[in-house]
Amino acid sequence: MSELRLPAELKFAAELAALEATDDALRPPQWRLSPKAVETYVMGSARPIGGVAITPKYYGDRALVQVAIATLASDRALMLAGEPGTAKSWLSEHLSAAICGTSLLTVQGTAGTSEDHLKYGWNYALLIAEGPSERALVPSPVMRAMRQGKIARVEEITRTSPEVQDALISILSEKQIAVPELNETVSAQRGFSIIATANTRDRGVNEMSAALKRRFNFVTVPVVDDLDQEIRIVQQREAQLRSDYQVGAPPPEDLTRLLVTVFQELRSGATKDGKTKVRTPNGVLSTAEAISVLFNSGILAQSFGDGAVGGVDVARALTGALAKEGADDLKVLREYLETVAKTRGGAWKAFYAAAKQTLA
Amino acid sequence: MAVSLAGVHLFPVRHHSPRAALCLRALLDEVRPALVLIEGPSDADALIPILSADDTKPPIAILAYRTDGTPQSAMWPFARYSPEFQALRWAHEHGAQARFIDWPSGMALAADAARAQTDSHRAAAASDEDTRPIAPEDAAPDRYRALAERFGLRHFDEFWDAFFETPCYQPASFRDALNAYAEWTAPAIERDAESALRDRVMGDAIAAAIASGTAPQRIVAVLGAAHVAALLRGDPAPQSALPDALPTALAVVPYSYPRLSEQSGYGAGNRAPWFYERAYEGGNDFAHASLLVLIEFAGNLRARGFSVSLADVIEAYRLARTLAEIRGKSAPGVDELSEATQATLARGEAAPIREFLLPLLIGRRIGQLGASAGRNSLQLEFAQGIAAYGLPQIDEPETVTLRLADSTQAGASLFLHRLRVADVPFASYVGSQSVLTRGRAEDDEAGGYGALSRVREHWEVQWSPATEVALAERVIYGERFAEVCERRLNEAIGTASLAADATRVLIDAVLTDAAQALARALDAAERLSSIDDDVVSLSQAARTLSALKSYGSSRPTLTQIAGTIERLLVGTFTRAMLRLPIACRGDVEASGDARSAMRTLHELALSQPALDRGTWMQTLTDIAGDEGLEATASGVAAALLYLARELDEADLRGLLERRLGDVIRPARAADFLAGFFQVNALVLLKNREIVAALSEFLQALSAQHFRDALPALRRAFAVLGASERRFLLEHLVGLHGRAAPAVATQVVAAADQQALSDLGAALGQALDDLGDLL
Repeated sequence: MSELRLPAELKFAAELAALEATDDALRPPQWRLSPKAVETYVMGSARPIGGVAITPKYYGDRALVQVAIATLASDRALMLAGEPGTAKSWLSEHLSAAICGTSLLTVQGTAGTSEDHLKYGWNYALLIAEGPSERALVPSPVMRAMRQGKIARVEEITRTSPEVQDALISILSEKQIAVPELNETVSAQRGFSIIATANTRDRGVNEMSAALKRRFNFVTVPVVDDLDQEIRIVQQREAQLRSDYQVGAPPPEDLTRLLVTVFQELRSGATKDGKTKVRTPNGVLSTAEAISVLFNSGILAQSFGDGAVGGVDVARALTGALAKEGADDLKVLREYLETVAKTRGGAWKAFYAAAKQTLA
Repeated sequence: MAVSLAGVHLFPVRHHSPRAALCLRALLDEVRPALVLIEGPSDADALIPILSADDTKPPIAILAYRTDGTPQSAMWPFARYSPEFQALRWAHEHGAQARFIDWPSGMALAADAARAQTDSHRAAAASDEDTRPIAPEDAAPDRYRALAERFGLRHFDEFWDAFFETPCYQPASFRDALNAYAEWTAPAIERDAESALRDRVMGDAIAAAIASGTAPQRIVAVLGAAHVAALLRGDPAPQSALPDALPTALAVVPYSYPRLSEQSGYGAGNRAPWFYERAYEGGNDFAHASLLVLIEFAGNLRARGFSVSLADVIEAYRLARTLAEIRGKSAPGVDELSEATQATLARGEAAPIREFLLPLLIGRRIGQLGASAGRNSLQLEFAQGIAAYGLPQIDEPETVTLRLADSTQAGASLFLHRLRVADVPFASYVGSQSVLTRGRAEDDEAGGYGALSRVREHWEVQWSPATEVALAERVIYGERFAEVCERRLNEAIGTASLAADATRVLIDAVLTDAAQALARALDAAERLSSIDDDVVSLSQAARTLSALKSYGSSRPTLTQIAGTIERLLVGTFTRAMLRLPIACRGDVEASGDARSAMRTLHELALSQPALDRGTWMQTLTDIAGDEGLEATASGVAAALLYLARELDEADLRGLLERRLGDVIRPARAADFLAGFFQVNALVLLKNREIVAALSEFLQALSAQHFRDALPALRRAFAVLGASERRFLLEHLVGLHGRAAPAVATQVVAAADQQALSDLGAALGQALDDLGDLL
């Protein structure tokens, strides 16, 4: 395998196949698995199913995943809203892989997204040569999902302009896309639905219209505030990145704990024991960011350090991540080092010394 | 178990379970018993006609309270869907006899009291809320939680709903299921001695009923599931003896759904009474109840101005049902309903669920007693008062504003003050001003010295079952609120040891129209004020008396004693004035009380013509000039004199120079300054003479002295606000020309930079602040 990253349905093909083989519960039309089996796939199972261990993909509130699955079983589309880096896209990918077998029918929302990206475009060479024809039509991922009765994913919907967003209204309410050039209408097959993700930090930038909101059920994906839970997520995802990219050194457990503690304390504005207040940085300190910092420190250690991840590597990677939002956030980190990190023992000692040096 | 209970229909229940209530009714219809025995205090049998009357509307509760003077009470609440309540109703409708068979309330209270004494943890739980949990198994919430988690559910309530409330049961299958559940959980739960004793009491009572001639087949006994399991197992009788019963009285009182939802745990309550009642009324159809809730919730949201489409309501309902299905439940419960509503109607937001949906599920219902319910005279007077003055009777806080010029509203004020003095938790005084312009809390207490001058009163009113408890208990003080107030105020006079205590009672006596207490409080005030040495107490007493003298003319009760009050006022004031210089000794903290007393007395001296103004001013002059007294107090006195124009500017400058000239002990000078600024810094700093004196003092300080005085200086200048600082700066610039900023730097530079760096970063920061300030 030389692909940098496999989609969920290929990466976890064995798990999905085992679940499909043993799943005897009722499945909604066109679903690959029953709702219960989808839940098992996402949340993981303590016992192997059909001889295959089902790893947890999402750590967090089971109820949230259940609401998401129950939504997709109806004619409502699903909106996953939350802070950046709370695994919204990750969840959306796994849900669509488990439900319809593909997570690739994806539109990435950007300021440049146009209605063509949501409906259809044209192969202009053919259009000019032959005029409008089925052959010249370039269907969007959404249109393909409609035709195949699968789930389309619209990532970061709030990044696109409201006019473009509203193109989804007729798709979601009438389940049709009219192609007037061909005098045709593409109708959605059973099983079609949309999972959109929206960033709550974007609120007010491109606020969705009330009409569009009505077509979605909203599930808010929370920021993980349980230390052990976030450590588990960070460990698992970092290990995955390392195996995907074939680079980096494995970080020791106590450094992972240290890093996640730093993230949670800076995020919440207080130390875990609630005794000391700390300033919060402007940048987003998401779980995804913690994973990336940990992964980077592994690469730093392997390429430029002594091969084992130490406080120095974590400190350097962390400084790099916080420098994104400017000098203010570095000042926040400096304050944190002096008021909190300095007073702690163990792995914190090396981290404090290294971070102080990096920041100097 | 010595006696056989064979043949008796033992029906296990969870208190407040709609499913148990439904199954029990079905069983009763089938068995048609002659005798229904119910878990509940056996001395409450006399209340059964009231509890089961047609015009009694739950939630209601049996209240037991001690009659030996110790405040302690317990409640046994019933909702419409409580199986015990339905058992009573069934017996009433079918002419069967109903009887309570648990130990009497006196023993329950004795056991509570013993537990409160032995266990400090439980003491907190038992004393802060008057309702005792019916099932002592509540002590082990973690075990129930563990049980729920075994089935992949989040908490015990969810477990209960999923396994007992929503599935369909026949009476027999429900009984078997609940017995199996109790038997299954029993090994995990060590039953305490108290539960075992109650097993025996109830088992004996059932046996006695059989012995007195009722066929076992014609008896239905309704008990908590743990008790039934113990009886079926035939647990050995406990060794310990029954507790000695305390003397109690019993009453039926209204209860409320918000309270019921606060009682959590296996036995005590449930989290969504209104939702459960809806389900019960529909034959425990939780799906239908969910739909009703959703429709009402949508209506609520619309009324609040949100746009809510019917499609959203339908989707929420469908989602709730699908969620229940995924979780293997037969119908949606509170959890599914909340989650589905959040995803649809609330668009992912948690706040509308917390703010609107959960309160809706709890409901606001307050129970009503039927006409047959005997009410004590206070309960009747309370009900009449509520009706006459149109006060709200709901179990959530509501603000009521009374305009005292209106005679009806003045009557309401009298009523609420009487409730306050009688210590009936119903209305709490919020203030005389609206929320925005509210002043210092200490100046505006319900029974404070300002009470007589008010034209308006704001109260926060909330009825709760605790109100009823108090109404039932206060009867020992008297038959009418007026009587209760007289007695309680007399008690307060008996324990008063300071003049201020007595005058506080005096005000309350006026506010509640308590003539006897008024006379006695006046005597007490006279006696106490002649022996009281506490200036704070004396000054407060004088302030209260002054208020009574000024505003007493509007109260007929006070006009007759106006002469006594004036004499008392002069006496108290004079005594306070004489004690004041003595109180101004000691350190800054010790003189704090004296300073506040000084300001209170000063206000009185200026406003009451009866008081000797000249002597007062002389006292202040002595305090301001006396170097032996605490310097802050002297500063306050000087500022008061200047503001009262007893001191002209030249005098003041002289005084300031003398006090501030103490460069050897600059800390004392700084204290003086702090006291001086405490009074009215703005007026003082507007005067250039004063600022000039200040400036000279600061410049004359040596570096060493400046460092010593710095903490006190910082404290003195810290009280200055933005506009005061502006005046100070303007005058400084005026005095020193443009060089003023340079002067400020000079002050800092003079304080020896080298020595400063040794003092550490904190002091450096302090100096910077001072530099900024000047």
